[in-house]
Amino acid sequence: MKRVQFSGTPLPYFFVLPQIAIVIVFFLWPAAQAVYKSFLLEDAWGLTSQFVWFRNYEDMVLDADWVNTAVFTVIFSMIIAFASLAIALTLAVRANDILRGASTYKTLLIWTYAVAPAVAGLIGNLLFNPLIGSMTHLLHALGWEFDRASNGFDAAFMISLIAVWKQVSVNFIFFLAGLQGISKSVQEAAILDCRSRSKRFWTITFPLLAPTTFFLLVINMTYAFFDTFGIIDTTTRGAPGGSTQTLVYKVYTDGFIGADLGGSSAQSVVLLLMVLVLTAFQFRFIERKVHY
Amino acid sequence: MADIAIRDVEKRYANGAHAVKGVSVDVADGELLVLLGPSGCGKSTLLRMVAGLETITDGEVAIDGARVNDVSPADRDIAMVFQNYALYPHMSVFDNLAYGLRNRGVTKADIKHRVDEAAAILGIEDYLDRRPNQLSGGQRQRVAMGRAIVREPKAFLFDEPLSNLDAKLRVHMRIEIKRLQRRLGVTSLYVTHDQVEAMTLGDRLIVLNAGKAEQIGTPMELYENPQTLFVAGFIGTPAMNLLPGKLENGGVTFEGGANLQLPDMLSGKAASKDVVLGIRPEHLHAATGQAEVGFTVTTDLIEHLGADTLLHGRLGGNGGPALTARLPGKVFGSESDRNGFGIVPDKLFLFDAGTGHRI
Amino acid sequence: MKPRQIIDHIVLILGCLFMVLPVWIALTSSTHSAETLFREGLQLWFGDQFVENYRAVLLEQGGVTKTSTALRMLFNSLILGLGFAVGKIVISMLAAYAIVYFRFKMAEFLFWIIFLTLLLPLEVRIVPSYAVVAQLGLLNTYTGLIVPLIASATGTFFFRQFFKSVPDELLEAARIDGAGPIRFFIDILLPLSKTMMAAIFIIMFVTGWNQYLWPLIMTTDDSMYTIVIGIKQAFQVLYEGGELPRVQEAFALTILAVLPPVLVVLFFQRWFVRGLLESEK
Repeated sequence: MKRVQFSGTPLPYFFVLPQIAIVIVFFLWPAAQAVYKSFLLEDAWGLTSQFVWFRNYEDMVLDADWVNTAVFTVIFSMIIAFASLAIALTLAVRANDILRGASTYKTLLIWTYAVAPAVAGLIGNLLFNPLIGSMTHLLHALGWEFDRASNGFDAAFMISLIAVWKQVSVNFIFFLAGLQGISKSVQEAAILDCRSRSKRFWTITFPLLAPTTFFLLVINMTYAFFDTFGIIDTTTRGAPGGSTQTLVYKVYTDGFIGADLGGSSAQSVVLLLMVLVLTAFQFRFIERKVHY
Repeated sequence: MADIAIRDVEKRYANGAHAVKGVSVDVADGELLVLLGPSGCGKSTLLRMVAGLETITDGEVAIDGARVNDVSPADRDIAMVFQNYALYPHMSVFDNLAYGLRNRGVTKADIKHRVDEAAAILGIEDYLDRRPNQLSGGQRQRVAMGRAIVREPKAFLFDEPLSNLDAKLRVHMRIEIKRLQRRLGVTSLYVTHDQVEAMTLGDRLIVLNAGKAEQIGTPMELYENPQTLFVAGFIGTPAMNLLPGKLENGGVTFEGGANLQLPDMLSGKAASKDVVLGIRPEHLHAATGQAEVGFTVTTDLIEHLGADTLLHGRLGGNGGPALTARLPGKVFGSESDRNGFGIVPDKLFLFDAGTGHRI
Repeated sequence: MKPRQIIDHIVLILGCLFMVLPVWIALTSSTHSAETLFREGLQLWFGDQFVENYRAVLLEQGGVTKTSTALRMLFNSLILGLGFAVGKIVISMLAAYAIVYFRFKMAEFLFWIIFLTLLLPLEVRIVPSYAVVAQLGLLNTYTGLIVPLIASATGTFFFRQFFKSVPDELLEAARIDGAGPIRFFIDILLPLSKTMMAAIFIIMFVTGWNQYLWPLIMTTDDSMYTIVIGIKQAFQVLYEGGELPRVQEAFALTILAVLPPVLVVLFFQRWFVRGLLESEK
């Protein structure tokens, strides 16, 4: 903090008041409600409720649907994180190396940040449309009998591709900044020490980018968990048969459409714990970043 | 070990900047050649072209008799010590030293042997497990040197390696580098803008100015026989007094009216009337009697350095050119001496003011 | 050019095509008639229906946007984007100012309260949040749409970090010059923060404009739909409606939805990149 601070005035309380008020009313209170409701069994109209301890949680983990959804979410998140990081890193390394046209490439690669997930979802949806979609035509021409309506894998492939497309720009920006942060003379020293460009990348550049990569891994997992909601809701809506449903999407459908408040709340609490773990990871790695 | 030949090397950048304008110099096997010049003179560019980090626009660089213009940096068999050390921050000291060897397929046992040997030479055996950020400036400098030594390269390239150290450590490391280079006998190019460093380290110096070589020679040749105004002003501390004036009747008349008679052998060769007379501060001594031909200096500042005294003043009073004299011992303190102090030059350099060349 | 560089360019061009093509196809297909699209598939070049399609989407009720018009939705999105960005900057700057520049008892505690919001994304408290907003009578209002979204820790962290990097001497000098807390904030800190505010504004505007889940659950009145919710409507019309789907209008709607934030990002690219790098740290 600062060496000198203002003191003996009520001003700071006024300054933090708006923030704190919103946090309490719209964050802490609803979150507490979610935790509380997760221990209740309510009827569909919310007229009667009963305290049932961990039964909602038991039901949840015993529910094959939920387990499948959880497994799908984890695999889906890892694929998205891995694929979008790999694509972004490939592009960033090359954009950092070339001399001409770098800023044009940069512009063309980052603008998709501004596309809303739901919009990306609808565009992707139409591109994969069975009747008119260019992607469907292309995949058919390549011999893949693409059928998103009945084949779970095909549907998952579609939403993964859209989610990756949407996330490349953020990763690209961070990787490029990370690459530009590596000391030029370290790179030159490596040029003298090692002839092979790819070996240089894996032994010097990539380890030095590790803090950025870890940080982005957490960001991407968070993105895949939460922000893909808009994509799923404008493409598969979990179909076919819940095979492309993420945990967040299930909380939404169970809570709003199924009106199962206790079950939905228990799922929310599990999500909360996941966020906790991801945030803890993020802060650990940010501390590591100071290390170099 | 090898010699390095630099022939008519040019560097032009895409934006039109002409950084190096036809420099040629041969570095003998085992010699330490210093590239000396002010910032922006092209010395680092020249070094980086030898390293292969910059392309050579024109001319050629040969190491051990073989042209290397199109050889990749890793294949030139040279090692470089960078200004900010450029240690790999994520590797231990051992790995920093070993990295270049591993990439060259040296066996594990051999790597261990060579790293230990280099570490022993540099006195960094105890730090081999540490990361660079756990080391002091001097230790990092040694690791950077070590990285060059273990490679047993044909040549060392130093790019201002001491400029990130404090003054005391710099003097110390300078001596270490000199000893090390002598002991290993590796051909070396050393870039610096510090002329003291250059004088003490170099077997020979090449002084660069605006992309051109001004003069090449041993430190003493450059000191005793500067061929251009630039070299004269750049080499020696305090810097040589450079006094502009007009050549008249076998003497030089300075602004303010002061006049100095020149020996015949000097004045006879002058082709131009506008000249610059160079006198090193240490080549001046106090006049002992009327018999000596000298001139008077109006002193405005006296610095006592202990062993010597620096006397700053103007030749022939106000309006005359500024002059510094370095006189041995402790020279006067009385105010009355300050006006009209007579000093006598022992050695004079005469330059053509137009071309900057020695007459 | 060396072969290595040629490969670099090829890879980058492929990357750019991957990023640009989907939206390009949406743009060009939005200028054709539904018949053309269904007969010949999606189009890679412009057709002659540009004016008709966009006029229909922007001004006519019904069709792919059901009962609202895209113009109305764009207006709502603009309000949300601006309100979100401005609200977030004001609230988080004030809180960060209090935490960094004042000595007061609950500073640490309040900071941790704000920090907690990082752990509570909307998704983990959807249902109760909806209940709170409903109880407060804020459904289908701009206040209900914006206010619950503007208190999150990222903005406060961002300004806290920035204020900490402002040299201490400035506050000391200002105090010697007789400036109180309000004066110092207005005369010194605000002008110093201009670039930072601009950078964060760009990011937050885009984030606000692109909000999906919150507007989805709390706007039920068509006149309150944002353009992104309009996308959802278009999706439902396309897949539930019986008539010949108006794909061309759906494409036009997506173009209208991405155009404003994309233009903002492209136009203020430098600030955008800086804001993104700083705010996510």
